[in-house]
Amino acid sequence: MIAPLVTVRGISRTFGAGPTAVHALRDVSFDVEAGRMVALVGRSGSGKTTLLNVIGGLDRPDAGSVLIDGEEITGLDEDGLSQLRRDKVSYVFQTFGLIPVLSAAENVGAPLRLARTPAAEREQRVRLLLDLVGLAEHAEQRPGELSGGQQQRVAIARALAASPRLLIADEPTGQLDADTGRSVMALLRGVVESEGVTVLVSTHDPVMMALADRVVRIGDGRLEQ
Amino acid sequence: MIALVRRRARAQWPVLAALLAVVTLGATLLGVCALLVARSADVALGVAANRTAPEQTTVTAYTSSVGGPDAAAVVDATRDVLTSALAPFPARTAARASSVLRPLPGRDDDARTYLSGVEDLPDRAALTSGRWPGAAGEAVLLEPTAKLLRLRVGSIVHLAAKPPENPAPAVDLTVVGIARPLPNAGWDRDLLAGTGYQADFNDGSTMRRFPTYGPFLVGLDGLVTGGSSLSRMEVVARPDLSGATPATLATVAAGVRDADPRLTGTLGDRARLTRVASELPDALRAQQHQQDVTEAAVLAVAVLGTVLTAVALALAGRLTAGLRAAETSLLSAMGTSQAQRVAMAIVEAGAIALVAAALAVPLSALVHSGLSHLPPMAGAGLTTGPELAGAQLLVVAAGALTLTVVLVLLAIRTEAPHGDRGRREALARSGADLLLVAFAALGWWQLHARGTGTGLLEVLAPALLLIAGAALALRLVPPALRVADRLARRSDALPLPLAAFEAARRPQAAAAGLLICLATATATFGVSFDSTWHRSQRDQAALAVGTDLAVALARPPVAGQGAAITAATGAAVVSPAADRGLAVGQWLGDGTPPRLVAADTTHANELFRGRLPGKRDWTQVTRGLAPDGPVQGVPLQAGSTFSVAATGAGDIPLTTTPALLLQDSSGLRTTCTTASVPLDGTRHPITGCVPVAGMQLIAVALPVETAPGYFSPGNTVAVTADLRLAAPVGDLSSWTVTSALPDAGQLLQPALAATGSTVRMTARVQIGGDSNATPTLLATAFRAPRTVPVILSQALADGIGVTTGAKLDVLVGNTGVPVEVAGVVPGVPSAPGDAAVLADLDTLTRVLAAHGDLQSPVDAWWAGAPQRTDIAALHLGTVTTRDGESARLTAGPLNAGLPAVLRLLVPAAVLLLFAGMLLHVTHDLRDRAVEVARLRGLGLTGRQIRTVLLGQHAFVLIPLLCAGALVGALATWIVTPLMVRSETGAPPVPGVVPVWPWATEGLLILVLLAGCSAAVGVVAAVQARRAGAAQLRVAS
Repeated sequence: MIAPLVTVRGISRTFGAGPTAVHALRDVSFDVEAGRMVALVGRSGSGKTTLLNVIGGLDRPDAGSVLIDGEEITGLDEDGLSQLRRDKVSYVFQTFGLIPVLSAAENVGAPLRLARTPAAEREQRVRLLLDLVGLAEHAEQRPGELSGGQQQRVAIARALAASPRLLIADEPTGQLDADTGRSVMALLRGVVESEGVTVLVSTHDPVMMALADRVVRIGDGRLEQ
Repeated sequence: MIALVRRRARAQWPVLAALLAVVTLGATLLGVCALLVARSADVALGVAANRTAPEQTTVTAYTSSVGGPDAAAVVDATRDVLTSALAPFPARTAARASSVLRPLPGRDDDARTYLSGVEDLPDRAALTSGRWPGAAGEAVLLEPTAKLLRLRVGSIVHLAAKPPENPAPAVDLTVVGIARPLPNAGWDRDLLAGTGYQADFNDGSTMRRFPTYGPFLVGLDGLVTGGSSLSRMEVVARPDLSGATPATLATVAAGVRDADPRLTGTLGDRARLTRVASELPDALRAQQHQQDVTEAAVLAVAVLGTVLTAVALALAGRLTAGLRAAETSLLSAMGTSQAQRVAMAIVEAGAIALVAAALAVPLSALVHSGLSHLPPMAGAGLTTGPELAGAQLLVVAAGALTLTVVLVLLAIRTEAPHGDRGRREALARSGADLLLVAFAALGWWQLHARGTGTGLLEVLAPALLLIAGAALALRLVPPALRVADRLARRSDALPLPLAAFEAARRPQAAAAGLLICLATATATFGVSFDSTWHRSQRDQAALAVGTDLAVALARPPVAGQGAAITAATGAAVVSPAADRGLAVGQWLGDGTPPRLVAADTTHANELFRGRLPGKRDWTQVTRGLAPDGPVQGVPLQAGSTFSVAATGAGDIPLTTTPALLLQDSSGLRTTCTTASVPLDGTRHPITGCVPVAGMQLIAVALPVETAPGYFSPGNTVAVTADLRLAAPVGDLSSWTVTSALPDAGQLLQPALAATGSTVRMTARVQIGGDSNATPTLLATAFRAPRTVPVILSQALADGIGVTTGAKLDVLVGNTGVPVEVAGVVPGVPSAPGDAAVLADLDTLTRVLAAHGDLQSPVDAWWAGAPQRTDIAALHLGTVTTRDGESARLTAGPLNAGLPAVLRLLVPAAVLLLFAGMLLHVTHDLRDRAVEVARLRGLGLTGRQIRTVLLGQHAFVLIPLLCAGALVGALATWIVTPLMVRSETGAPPVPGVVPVWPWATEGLLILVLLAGCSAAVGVVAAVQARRAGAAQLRVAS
């Protein structure tokens, strides 16, 4: 039995109040084992993004708890959550989330700068990661000069830069064509294999579900298992 | 469509409110300028006219040789002409008339007298005994006349009838009072200038001169109706110019100009000569010109404010267009035509213009009223309540409409594809920059080359220069940011380097940059222009007065005045001064003779005022002008008298007019003379020479003349003159005795000896000869230099083409004086811009004395560092102070508009900058809300995100503020010396020194930085707090 990296217990999240209140999550509980790739599947508005935001510390639940690597994060203050995202959790967004004014290499190096990694070490790590995602030759290009797939690869490289324990990817292929999406998913799969990173990814794509170690379905804010 | 516009307005009210605020601010600024130019300028002209010195507003009609029967009618007609010339203003008239000279009865010296009728006599003289004349036949005498004629109250004088050519009936006059003339009461226009007696007066009716006594002061009505012919008649009209308007002032100026021919026509042959004189038209013209100068500067500031507002509006409009980009695309997709979009933009802009104008009209009236209650307008008498003016309404409406055109143009602008737009915009911007620079250069040249007038380009020039400078300065910012980018790459941290990357690599909004740069430039330029203008006015005032306090004497100076002025003012230095014309042979000029200014240069720094170029001061400049040491003469007791007895050997009848040169404790040199005395050994008293203590005798001159009509060339006569003093003379070995210059060799073996209280002067005088000069035996307590070292004004030096070291001959009065140019200065104290000569008074009077001219050239007093300036009670003459002149130039009604509008421009620029910055930052951060949220996703804390946001704006803002300040400073150095003018519109003298008040400018930039930082900080804090899941959800 592999110990869970992520433990979600009784998470609820409601937006608004009164008759117009939206119950995005209702008593959600599940575990994600370390070194696994878990696909979070559900229709639009099912609560996938909210759940990922709560797990990543970008949003706070109304009830329940989230433990990452044994650390309860729902009680952390803003600085604690920032520290968590810096050290243990990283994100890959559907819209890539790259900083437009930075080159691919600088985007990948941003988390390392946050950790105040010395320049030489940072550059070496950036080269390694860009090589890993197959973009070593595009290091100096800015996001606007890269294709969607390339941008998402850069985003994955950036997410891996600080060697996180958990990589959260919110529909990383949502804006990509099928082939590019598959290659991105393959890259994520490869990362799990090579880097031992735990990946929690939300998706609609059945192909991607097939690449996952486990599929967690969510509907109307509840897990469907 | 209207419904859509209305619904959109409801939804986007903050944006529209921002646009409205900017348009309202600009229109208000224009409205205030319009009120300053239209309303305040009119009031200022009226106030200035009302404050004009009385001697400049009076209109005087002079007539002469009026027949007795016509006298009363001539007086009445003259009054009518003057009062109608001054209409619509009420005028008070005062007449005085003098009869023809009439023989004094019972005299064997053919003495004459005359009658004078003076209105307002009690205001012009003080009774010492008796009463003022009432009935016909009653008269008052001046003290000297009464004393010399041995008349007293109750005396009766019978004046016989005068021959028919100038008839005057016999009259019996009863003396009913004795009076003393008051200073500055118009006695200078009396036949004998109020002295009561003149030994050899000529009234111009004949060639002969008579001992003349008078006047017998009688009632004017009695004189003009008594049948006596009048030799002179004068009517003075003093208008009350309160409530004057430009139109009424123009009317009165025309009326006064026309008065002279009207008077001539009205009087016809009832008077031989008629003349109407007044400085009023010239004074009013000068005031109008001064007002024009101020108006031009106010208009230049208004243009600057409008340009700034337009730039702020362009920024706001672009941001609004960006905000509505999606909406515009949607409308296009739904089939809305370009014409419909234009119509919507016009409706919206029209509504904004309407509301802005409606707000700006009362706002501008309130702001104008507020400004008028603050210095300098309040001090200038321009205080007014909130009021509306036609020009204001027109300008506000036109301004609001014009500004909103910018909004329409931005709203309907078609976006080109990105690549094309970038190239096209870059090309257009380069072209616009070049055009701006060309226009700015043209404007500068126009300013540089302009005379005393002002054209459109000169009014636009400052705005053109500032906007061109700001546009060019914007191009300096990207290279600076690239340097920051390179430095940031070396850092291991993220927040600040990321801020630098964002600043350097993100395309910056040119409109925002231009607004920040231009507003900073405008504000800093406004502050420095204000300081430069004030400094220049103070400099002009200092040089114009020449000292701290100047008294232009109404009468010749008398001993003891210096001490009285010192006591009254507590001044550190008080010096007699000469400020008069002189003749320089080489000078052609404009018909105005060069001026001679002479005062005590041994205290030059304490006494002289007026900025000199470089770091020179007046002590340095005037070094070498003064003699080595003060004169040590023979001390005299107050009230002591002299007597002189002269003899000439042989039987040639000789006369002399002894002249004593005395000096009081303040250095004033006065001359004491007696009537011409024969050289017959008779002793003649010389009295009244030593009215105060502390005086000393420093020179004696004895011109030796033959009796009238006697001509005996070739004879040499031994002349001896004994001057007896009241006390022992002491040692006179340091005295010099010589012949006065030019020495024609007629005076031989001059000698001087002192025995007890007697000074004996001897010489052998050759009578006749080729020279026209009177041989003058001269004894002085000083050695006079051969030439007077002088400083020339640049205008004179240029005009006669001389430089330092040149030697000239100038004519001071009737005395030729050799001078040597010791230096050249841009302007001589009290004679700015004039051709003038500055000399040391001591040196000048020594040299004049050496030429036998002992008459004092002094006609003024100068005082340095006075504690008090109100010395009107001394009745010395016209008092002018440097501070008073400064106040007139800086806060006078005709000048106050400029500092007032600058006071408005600076806060307006600051407000527009803050508003623009707030709009820009709000839009920028809102556009990038998702990006900010992702920074949080990267693990940046709220503080780090704020650092990134603040930093990236600071990286742009600080160079822009610095660039703006640099542009403001450059404009100060380039433009202000050309914009600041004298009150005549000519370049000021001394030249303008640009002033950059570091403390104020530093504070202003700090305020701008703090305000902008606060705006960015607040928005960034809100944005950082909001950055989170919500934005990420939106993004996803």
